[in-house]
Amino acid sequence: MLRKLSRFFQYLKLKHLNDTNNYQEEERIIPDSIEVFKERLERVFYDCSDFSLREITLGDETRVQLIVAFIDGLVDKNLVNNDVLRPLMIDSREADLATHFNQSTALKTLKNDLLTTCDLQEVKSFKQLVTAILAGDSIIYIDGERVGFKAGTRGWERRGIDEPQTEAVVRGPREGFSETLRTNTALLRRKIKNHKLKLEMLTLGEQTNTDICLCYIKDLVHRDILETVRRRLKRIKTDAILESGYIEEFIEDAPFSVFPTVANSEKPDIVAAKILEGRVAILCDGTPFVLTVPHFFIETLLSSEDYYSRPFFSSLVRILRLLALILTTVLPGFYVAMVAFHQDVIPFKLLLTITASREGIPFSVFTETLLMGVTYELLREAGVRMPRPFGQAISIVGALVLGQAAVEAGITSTPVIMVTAITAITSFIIPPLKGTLPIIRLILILVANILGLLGMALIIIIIFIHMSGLRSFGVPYLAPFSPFTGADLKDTLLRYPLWAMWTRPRFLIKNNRNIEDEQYRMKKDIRTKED
Amino acid sequence: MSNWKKMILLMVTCFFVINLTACWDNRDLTEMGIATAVGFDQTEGGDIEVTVQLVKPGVIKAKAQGSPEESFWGVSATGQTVFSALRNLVTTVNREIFLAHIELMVIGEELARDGIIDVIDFFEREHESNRRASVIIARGIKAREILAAKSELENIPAMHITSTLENNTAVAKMVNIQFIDLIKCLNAPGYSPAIGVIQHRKREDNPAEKLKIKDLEVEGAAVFKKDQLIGWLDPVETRGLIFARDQVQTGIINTDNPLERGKKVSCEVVRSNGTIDVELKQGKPLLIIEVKAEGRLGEQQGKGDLTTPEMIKKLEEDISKVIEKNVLTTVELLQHKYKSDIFGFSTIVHRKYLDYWNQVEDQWDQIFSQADVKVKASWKMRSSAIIKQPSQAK
Amino acid sequence: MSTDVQISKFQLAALIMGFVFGSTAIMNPVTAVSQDAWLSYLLGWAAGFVLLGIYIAISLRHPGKTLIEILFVSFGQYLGRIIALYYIWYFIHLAALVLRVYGEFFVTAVYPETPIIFLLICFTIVIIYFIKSGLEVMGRVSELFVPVILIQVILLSLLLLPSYDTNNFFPVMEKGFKPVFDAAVAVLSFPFGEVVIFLMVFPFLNKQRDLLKTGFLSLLIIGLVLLITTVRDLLVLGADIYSRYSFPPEISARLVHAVGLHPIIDINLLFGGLVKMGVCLYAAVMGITQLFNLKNYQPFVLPLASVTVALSIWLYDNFLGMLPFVYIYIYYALLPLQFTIPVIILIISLLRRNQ
Repeated sequence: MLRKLSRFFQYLKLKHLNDTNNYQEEERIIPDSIEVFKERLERVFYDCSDFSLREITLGDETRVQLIVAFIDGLVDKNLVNNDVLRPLMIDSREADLATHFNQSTALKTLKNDLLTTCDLQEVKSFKQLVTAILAGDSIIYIDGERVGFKAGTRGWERRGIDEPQTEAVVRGPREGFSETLRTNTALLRRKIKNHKLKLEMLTLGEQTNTDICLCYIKDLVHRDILETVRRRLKRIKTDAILESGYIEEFIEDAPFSVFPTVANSEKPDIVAAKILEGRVAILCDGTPFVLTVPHFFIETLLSSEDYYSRPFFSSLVRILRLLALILTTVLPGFYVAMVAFHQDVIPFKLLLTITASREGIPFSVFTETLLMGVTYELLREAGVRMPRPFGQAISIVGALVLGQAAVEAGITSTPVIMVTAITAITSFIIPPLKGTLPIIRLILILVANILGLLGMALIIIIIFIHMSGLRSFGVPYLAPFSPFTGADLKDTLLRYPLWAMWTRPRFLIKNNRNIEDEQYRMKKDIRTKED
Repeated sequence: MSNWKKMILLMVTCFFVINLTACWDNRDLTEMGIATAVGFDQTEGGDIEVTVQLVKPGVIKAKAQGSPEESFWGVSATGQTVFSALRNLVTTVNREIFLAHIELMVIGEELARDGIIDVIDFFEREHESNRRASVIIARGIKAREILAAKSELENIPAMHITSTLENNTAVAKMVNIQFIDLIKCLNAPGYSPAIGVIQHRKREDNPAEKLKIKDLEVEGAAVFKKDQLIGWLDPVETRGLIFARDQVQTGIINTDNPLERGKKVSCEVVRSNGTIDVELKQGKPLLIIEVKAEGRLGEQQGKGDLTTPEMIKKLEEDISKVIEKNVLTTVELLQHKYKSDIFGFSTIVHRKYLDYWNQVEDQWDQIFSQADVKVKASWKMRSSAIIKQPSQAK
Repeated sequence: MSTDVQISKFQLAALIMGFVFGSTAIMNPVTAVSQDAWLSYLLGWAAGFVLLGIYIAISLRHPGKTLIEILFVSFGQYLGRIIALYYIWYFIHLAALVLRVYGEFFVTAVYPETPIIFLLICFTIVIIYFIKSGLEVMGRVSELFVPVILIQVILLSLLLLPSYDTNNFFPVMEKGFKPVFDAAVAVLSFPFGEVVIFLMVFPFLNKQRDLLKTGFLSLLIIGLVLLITTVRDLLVLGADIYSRYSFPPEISARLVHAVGLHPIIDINLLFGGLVKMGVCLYAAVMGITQLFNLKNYQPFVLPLASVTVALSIWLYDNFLGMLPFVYIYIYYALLPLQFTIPVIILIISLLRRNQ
């Protein structure tokens, strides 16, 4: 039923698109007369003030007319000046154009002798020329030909490679992806210097024409997974892809699940590691966030730094993260259940403390916990959204609201504030689930008020049933715990030393008909005895 | 589509119905009176009077800042059964009585003489009651009065009594029995319980002054026959009992200084292992009690070096004899005066000699009182603490 | 039989363990013989291996066929259908029984004021979702939860170690061998004989050659765990309380010193019940689907689950009426369904092979 519903929404979107988007239906063939070409180009870029068009006449005896067009701001002006305009307008005079140059050889001369750009392609359809202009290339059109040139002159103001804000590490590379697709692919290629690293390009978004890049290692990727990714990407029919989150929503397996089945990262080393495990990365122009599929639940508890520090500490940290995950999910609900239902379990002295602090509080423990939880979420949201200079003010007010003032005003009791604080701290430890945990936490608080621990257990069972049924691109979400795969447990809660992890994840490689199964499950980095 | 909407609507409705109408077992802490101790007395009309010691958590918190108010409240009500008496408390107490944290159960003497089985049932049946609570008998005083007594040290008097109980067991002066063990004991065939005793320190009451915990003492044991109180053991007799029952953790045993007449030597029990056994000899049971204890020289009066091997051996023998005599006195008292098997010999007969047990089950008390007893104790001196010889005034 | 649904040997083992642990953990028939409980249990457990051997032999003789299909093959269309109907009724009835036991357990031990019907419906909603997710997911969920049960049992047993009293074992066979034998028969039927239900699940194991090993190993492990709970409760509570209380494990959980663990223990017990009820209802809906030669079992889940709730309420007036019923019930369910019919099936299949 959910799938039907999501298809219905997709259909609605598609219908709406088809009505408005019709410029692509224009003739595809490039006209052979410069007047027609110019007129059509100008019709396409009507009212586009950043569109530039230069007309050049070439040759002494036989004069050939050319058009150079590009979008100001998307091109690197130095490149256009030095590699396109300068050869055509200045260098051509020095060349001996008189003898050979005429209308029929113009194309060849231009391509082979004159234009000095490294990236020059012949383009045979008008639509592609328009796309090239929009992508920041310059086009060169020669009068009388049905072909045009696309010169790679892309170069716009861009952000440099910065340290990512979201995935800070103490040890490990500091570089992060940027908004430019080509930079990002280069970052990946620099990590994996291998011709088997394939970068498939495609364009999505009927209005935005966003470049998408599918990145995987041939021979390591499971053919079925790759096919599924391709199929789902091709099925996307939407106006705009502004961020990889748009793609994520269109390709995920369970659109109505609170759990993400697509991972994202803005660090090249993480993405490279995932590609090397046989996953597919989806890069999207205009965002530093790169998607990787398939996604396991256990990945949310891992961090790239685990592999850069020593295995003992990494294992400890991973167990702490699991503890944090449990705490941040169940703690408020557990508190409500304990105080409202299972008072006999609370140690006597603790019970006295809690009771004493609850005397005179006008709300039930449920309302109180919910109230503080919501207040915290509001503060957090405010902290993210507000302009930096207000940060100080918010933290002062926040400390007052979620603190002594609230207790002294008799609105909440101290234990609730502690519970909220622990929940808040632990929730920062698992960033990939930041959109999931608050929802589960809220549901758990609600059921804890109805049936105590039993209610919580029932909801947790439902969540586990749901998670066990989830698949990410055909791969069970809870692997390797369920279905249980012994060999893959080496990289879960305990991180084995790198030399002991000599098999690739079974579910990403299994049944791969491209290659011999067993052979490719083995990595070659087994430590030999001599070391 | 409509299906989905219906589902959501159903869930939302369910949620509100459940959440707004009733959360059956959802109780607010501030609507509960937390009881730490419960006491039972018999009224003159034969009803049961239940006293509950409720804690006032707010006052405990305020007391840290020096509030003079009492942090507990002993409140009583009567009824034909324990359950109804507890319910009758609602007429006085505005909160639901919460029994899960009861640490202490005090049973009045009169009630105990009539039989305690009837007051136990409710707490055994109740799903939310502390089965590790300590049980104690109030001798010559009402349980109600004990639960109203104020403590000098603790905010909650019940805690005072339970910790005294634990300490006194440690010095082998009294029996500390938990509720669950009491049930086990009552249900075991022929096995009668012995329960700790709380009583007035001074025999003459001073009615003008309000009773305080400091006026009470916790020592000795109450001897039962089945579920009825029949008599008392003094602290020394109690020690004999718990030596046999293997409940001694520590304790002081005095004996004469072998080197100087009239002076005493004290030894501290560090470890004690008591076993009881029964053997059938010509159709008559022989009760065997064996105590293996070890300890150290704790104090020496008088002069002389007691650390020589001969002296240690002598001391060991002396102390063994003290323990033997102690145990034997207790056993004989129980055999001849009370005729009540509070050691649990019956369970051993039941386990070991099933056929014989089936014959004598009904007259076990008689057989117990006539049985021969063999007590054997051995003491091992571990050390003389940190000095070898005592100081001497020279 | 559609074979695209497959479970691994770990999942099958988890399902068997969760199923056997299920309601036995809170209501073990051997409590009736107090200090001889362990003896009855051992006898029943040993005989349970024989029964499991029969079931596995049947399944191996009819590869890829579920119980219902095996019945058709062995007894023909008409008689087969009638017996199949009997089995389906048994599965539903068992599910209702377990549901009621769990409902009573929680109402008695933790939520005295909550109406039992509300709890039953809550459980059933979870179970409906459980079954609707399919056998594969059922296997995976059990794979996650069953280890938790095992850890909990061992943990609780260790925590209670100071309270053990080995004297509680004696005297052995105070009332002769007859009650011990009766209790052994009871424990053989409940839970070990109930494993007959797994004839509906065995064909879905992905590697059939593992069936024998997986089946016996899981029965060995879970049998050991149940033995630990039996002996633990007996040693901690003593023969008297052990036989006199409705839910001995709950009481022994309450006796752990200093920490109150029992709600968490109770919740853990729920996992086993979930697997048990899930497997029972799954077998029932699957049976009905195959009885009428249908393809999809999903539409039957909701109605059948509702029937189960109604049945579990209607079965007995109160919990006190339940215990005697269980014993009578055993002799009607045990002989034909768990022993006689499987043996006949096995003999028929052996005869056919020899021809």
